[in-house]
Amino acid sequence: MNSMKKAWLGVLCVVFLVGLLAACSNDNSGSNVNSNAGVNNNGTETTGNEEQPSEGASDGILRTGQGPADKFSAAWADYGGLFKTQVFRRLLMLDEQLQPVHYDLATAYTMSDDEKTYTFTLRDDVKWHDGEPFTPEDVKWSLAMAVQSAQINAVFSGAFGKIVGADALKAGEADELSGVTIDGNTLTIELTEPVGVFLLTMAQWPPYPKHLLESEDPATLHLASFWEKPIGNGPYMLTEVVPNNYAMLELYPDYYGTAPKVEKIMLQTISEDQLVTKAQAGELDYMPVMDLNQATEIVKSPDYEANPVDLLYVRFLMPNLVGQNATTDGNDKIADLRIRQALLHAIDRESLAGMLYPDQAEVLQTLVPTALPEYNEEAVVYDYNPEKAKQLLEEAGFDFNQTIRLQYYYTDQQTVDLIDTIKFFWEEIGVKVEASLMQGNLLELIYTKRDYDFLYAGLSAMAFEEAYGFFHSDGIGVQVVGASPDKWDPLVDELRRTSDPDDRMDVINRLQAMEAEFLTRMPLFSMKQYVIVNKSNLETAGIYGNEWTNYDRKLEEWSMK
Amino acid sequence: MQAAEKSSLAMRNWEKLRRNRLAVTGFVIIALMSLAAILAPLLTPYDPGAVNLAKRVQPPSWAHLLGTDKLGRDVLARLLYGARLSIVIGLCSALGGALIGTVLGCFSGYFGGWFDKVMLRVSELFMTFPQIILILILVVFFGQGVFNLIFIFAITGWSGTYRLVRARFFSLRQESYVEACRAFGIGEASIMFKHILPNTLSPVIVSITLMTAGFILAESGLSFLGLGVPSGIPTWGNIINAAKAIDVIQNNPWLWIPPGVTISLFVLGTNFFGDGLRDVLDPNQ
Amino acid sequence: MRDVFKYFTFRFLSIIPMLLLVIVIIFAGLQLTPGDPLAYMIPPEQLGSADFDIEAYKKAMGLDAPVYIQFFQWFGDLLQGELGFSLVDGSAISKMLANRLPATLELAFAALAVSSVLGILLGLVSSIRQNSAVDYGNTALGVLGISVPEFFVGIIAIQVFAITLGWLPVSGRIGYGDVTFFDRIDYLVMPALVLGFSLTAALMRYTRGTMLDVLGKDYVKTARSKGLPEWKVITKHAFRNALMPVVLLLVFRLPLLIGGTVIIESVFGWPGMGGMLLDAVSAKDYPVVMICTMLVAFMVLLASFLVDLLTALLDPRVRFE
Repeated sequence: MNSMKKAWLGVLCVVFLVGLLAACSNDNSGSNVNSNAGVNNNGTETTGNEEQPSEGASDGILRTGQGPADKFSAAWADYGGLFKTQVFRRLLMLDEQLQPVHYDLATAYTMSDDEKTYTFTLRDDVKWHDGEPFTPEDVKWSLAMAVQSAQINAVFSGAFGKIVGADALKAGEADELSGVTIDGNTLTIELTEPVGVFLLTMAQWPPYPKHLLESEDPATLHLASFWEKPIGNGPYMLTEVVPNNYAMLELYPDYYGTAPKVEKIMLQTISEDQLVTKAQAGELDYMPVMDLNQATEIVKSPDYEANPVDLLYVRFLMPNLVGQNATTDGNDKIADLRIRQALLHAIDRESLAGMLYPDQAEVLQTLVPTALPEYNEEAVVYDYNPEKAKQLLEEAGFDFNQTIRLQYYYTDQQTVDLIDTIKFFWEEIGVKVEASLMQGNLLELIYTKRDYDFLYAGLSAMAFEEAYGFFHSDGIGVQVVGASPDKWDPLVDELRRTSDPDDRMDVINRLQAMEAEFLTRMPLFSMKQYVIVNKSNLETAGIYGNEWTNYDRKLEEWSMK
Repeated sequence: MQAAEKSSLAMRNWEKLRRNRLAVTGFVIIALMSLAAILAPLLTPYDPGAVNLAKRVQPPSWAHLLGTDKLGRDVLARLLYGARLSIVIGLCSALGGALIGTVLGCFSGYFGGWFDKVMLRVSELFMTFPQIILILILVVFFGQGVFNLIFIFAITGWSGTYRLVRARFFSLRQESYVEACRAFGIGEASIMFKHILPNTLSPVIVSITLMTAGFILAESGLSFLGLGVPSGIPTWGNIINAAKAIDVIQNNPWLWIPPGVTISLFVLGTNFFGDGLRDVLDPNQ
Repeated sequence: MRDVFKYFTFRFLSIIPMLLLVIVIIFAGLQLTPGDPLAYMIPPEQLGSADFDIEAYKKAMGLDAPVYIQFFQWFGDLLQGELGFSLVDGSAISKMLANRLPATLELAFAALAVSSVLGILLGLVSSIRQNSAVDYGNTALGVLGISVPEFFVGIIAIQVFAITLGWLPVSGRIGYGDVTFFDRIDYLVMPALVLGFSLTAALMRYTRGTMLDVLGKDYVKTARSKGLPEWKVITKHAFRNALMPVVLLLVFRLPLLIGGTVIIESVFGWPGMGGMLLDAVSAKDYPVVMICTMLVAFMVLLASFLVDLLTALLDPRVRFE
C-alpha cells in the first residue's frame, strides 16, 4: 500500500519537474527564435562576449528608449521618434525653420497655382530593407490605405480626405484613389480643395511597403504582424527584436543617402519612471524627457546634457459648457463668461509654472505658446487677480454653495499636485471644488457623460488645424463647448484652406482673439520637452526638435565616442 | 461564579500576554500610533491639505518637523491625518472580512452538507487566487474610493477566517455541551450563535489583527500601482506613492522615509501583537 | 489501484465545469464594467481632434456586435487554440503570453525556490531552538518581511545595489548579447530576492508553527521517551508530519507563477504577466484580462487538485481500498 503511494508521489514529482523543464526550455527556445529572427546569430554572440566587461559605455552602440512592447506601434498615428524616422522615410523633410522644403524620397515636387494638384518625382534608387525596390506604387497604395485607416493622425486623415476619390473609396464605391496617378517616377495627387498643411503632411507621413502589407485590411493595418519586426526604407534596419526588452537597429547597406557613422542603435523598452535610473547607470545615450525634474536629476551626472525643445504642447482647462444634460440650456454653473474669467483670474499661473514646473512651463494666454511668432499679443490676458475674481463672481451672481467639479485624466504626480493647487486657488476665492481622476472610457466620459465642469486636458498638435478644428461644428468639441457655427466655422475652414504663411498667421491671430474673448478653453501652460544626451558617449549634430515629429536631426553627422 | 471564572481566565491570559515582550511592544506601537492619529489636530497646527507654494519641498525644521512636500504641505500633518484613514481602512476591511468569514463558517461548519462542500471549494479558490489580481479586477468594477476599497478587501479576505471558524464548528458541534443544548430543545440558531460562536472568537480576533496589518500593506501596494484611494486624500499609501519618483528618493528623503517607516512600524506592531495574541489565545500552543 | 485512478480522474474532470463557470463569470463581469478599450487606443490629445471617426473604429475592432455573439465568437476560437487578440494593439494573445509568461515563470519560480528553501530551513531551526536568540532573530526577520511593503524594499534595493554599488542592473530582464540563462541571471537576482523575502517570511512562520505543533504531539513525545536521538526524532517523526501542511502551502502558491508578481514587476521593469495584466485591466482589454484570469484560474484549479492529490498521498489515514 505504502509503496503504491510512493510510486504515485514519484510520478507526480517527475511530472512536475518535466513541466518546469518544459517551461524553462520553452523560454530558451523563445529567445533563440528571436535572435534567429535577427540577421546574424553568430554576430550577436561574439559582440556579446566582447562587451561583457564594459558596462554599457564605449561599445559603439547608441542606447535609447522606444523599444518594442509585444510589437512596435505603427507609424501613422504616432509618426515620430528616432525609430520611426530612421527606419521609415518620408517624401519630404523639414528644414531648420521646420518648413517642409527638403527632399527625401522625392527629388522634386510642384504645386499648381490653385494649390489643388501636387506632383512628386520620386527617387528610383530606394530599396526596402528586404531588398525590394521602393516605387510610386507603394505611395499610391499607402495613400489609399491611409484614407481608409482607422488609426491615423487627424492632420493626415484631414489632408488625405481631400484627395479626389477619397470619399468614393471610403464608401466602398471605388477600389483605388482616382486622384492619385503614376507616370514613371512621378506621382500626381489631385485634391478637391486646397489643404494648407499638405506639404507638411508629406514630410511627416511615411509610406509603407505595399508588397508586405497588401493583404491587410486597412482598418487593422496597424495591428498586422508586420509590426513585430517592421521593414522600412531608412538608413537603419531592425536586426534583432526581443519583445518587451530591446531591439537592435543596424546600418542598412543599401541605404540611398549618406550612411550614418553610428553603426548600431539599441532601442530599449523602458517606462518613464525608469529613465533616471537607466541614465544614472549610463545606459541611455539619447532620450526625450517630458519631466524637468527627471532631466535635472539626469544632468547631475557630468556626462549628460539636457537640451530644451520648444514644441506645440499645451495644457488647459476645458469648460463643459453644454452641461450634463444637453437638452437644457447649458451648464448654468459656468455659463456666464464672467465666472470663467473669474476662475482664470483666480489661478496664479505664473507661480504655478514657476514653482511646479520651473523652467519647463510657460504661461499660456491662448492655445498658441507666447514664444511662437503666431502668438497674438493683442488677445485678452487674464492675470492673477483674486480680488477681481471675487468681484466678477459677485457681479455674475455666482452661487457659492454649489460645487465645481474638476476632473483630470493624467495620472502622473505633477498633475495631481497641479490639480490640488488649482483646487486650493479656487477655494481661496470661496468656490467649492471637488477634484477627481477621470477613469475608464475617456471618450464617453469626456464627450457623452460630461460629468464635470472643468477638465484638465492636454494637446500636442503638429499643426493649428488640430488645435482649432476642435471648435468647428464638424468637430467632436461641440459636444462639450457647444456649437457656434457663425463664429468658429468660417475661421477654421479658412485655416484649413490656407497655406500661405502670412495668411495663416492672420487667421491664427483671429482665432486666438476669439478664443481669449470667449474662454471656450482656459489656457494654462505650454510645456517644453528635453532631449538628454550622454556627451561622454555620443556626439550629435546639435539639432533638437520636437522628438515626436520627423525633423532633420542630421543623424549622418552623429558619432559615438 | 461564571463571571469570576471568566475574569480569572482573562486575567491569566492578560498575564501571559504581558510576559510576551514582543506582543507588548506591538501593542505599545499600535496604541501610540492610533492615539497620535486620533489626536492629530492637537499634535500639529497644520492642515494636511493646505498648499503653500512658497514653502515647497522644505527639509525638516522646527517649524515643519518632517519637512514639507511638493506642494508645501506639512508632511507630519499628512502622516497623522493619513494614519486615521489607513488604520480605518485596514481595520474595517479586516472586520468586514472576518464578519463574512464567520457567518459563512458558522453555517458551513454547523450544518455541513452540500453548502459546506461548495463553500469550502469557493474558499479554496479565494485563498489560492492571487489576491492582487482579484483586487485589480475588482477595482475596475467598483472604482477607486475608500468605501470601495474596504468592500473589495472584505470580499477578498474572508476565506482565512471562514476556514478557522468552520474547523472550530466542526469539532465543537460534536461536543457534549452542544448535545446537551439540543436535548434541552434550544433552537439551532441559538446554539450556533450563543453557544458555539463565542468559543471560536479567539482565533478570529487573532486573524482580524493580522488581516489589519495585511490590508494596510495592500492599500499601500495598490496606491503604488495607482489603483488605491484617490490621490488627493491622504493615506499612508498615497503619501509614499507621491514620493516614489527617483528624484524625490535621491533628493528629498523626508518625503519617503517617514511614510515608509510609519507603514512598516505599524504593520510590524500589529503583527507582533497578533502573534502574541495567538500564542496566548490559541490552545494548541 | 483502479480506485485511485478513478478518484483522480473524477477530481480532474470536475475541474472542467468549474473552468467553464469561471470563464462565463469573468466574461459577464467584464461586460458590465463601464467604458470600453477605445479610449486607451488613442492618446487623449488626439481625441480632441476633429477628424476622428469613432464608429468606423468600433466596427473595425468588433465592438458593435451583441454581447453573446462576442462571447461565442471568442469561445469558439479559444477551443481551436486561438486565444484572440488584444484590443489595444492587436497582438495575438498567444504571442503575448509566449513573450511574457516565461519571464514571470522565471521570476516566480526563482522567488518560490529561494523562499521555499530559506523558509523551511529557517522555520525548522526556529522551531528546534524555540525561544533562542536565533528564533527571535528569525521571527523578527520574518515579521519584517511581511511588514515592509515589498515595493519599498525594491526601491531601496535598486538604490543600494544598482546605483550606489553598481553591482546589478537597475531594471529589465535581458541585456544586449545575453544568450543563455546565466548571461542574464544578474537581472534576475534582485527581483527574485525581494519577492522571495516576503514569501520566505510567511513560509518560515508557517513552518515554525506546524513544527512546534507536531513537536508537541504525543507520538513525538513517545519517540523521545523511547530514547531515539533528537535529530532522528526531528527528521523522521516531526518533520515528515509537519511537511504536509508546508507542502500544501507551497502548492497553494503555484498560481503566483502566473500573476502574483505585479508589484515587483512594476518596480523592476520586469516584462512579465503582471505588467501585461495591469495594462490590460486599466485599458479594459477584455480578451487579455480574460485569458490571464483564465490561466490563473486554471493554475488555481490545478493547485487545488494537487492539494487533494497530495493530501491523499501524504496523509497516512487516507486509504484507497
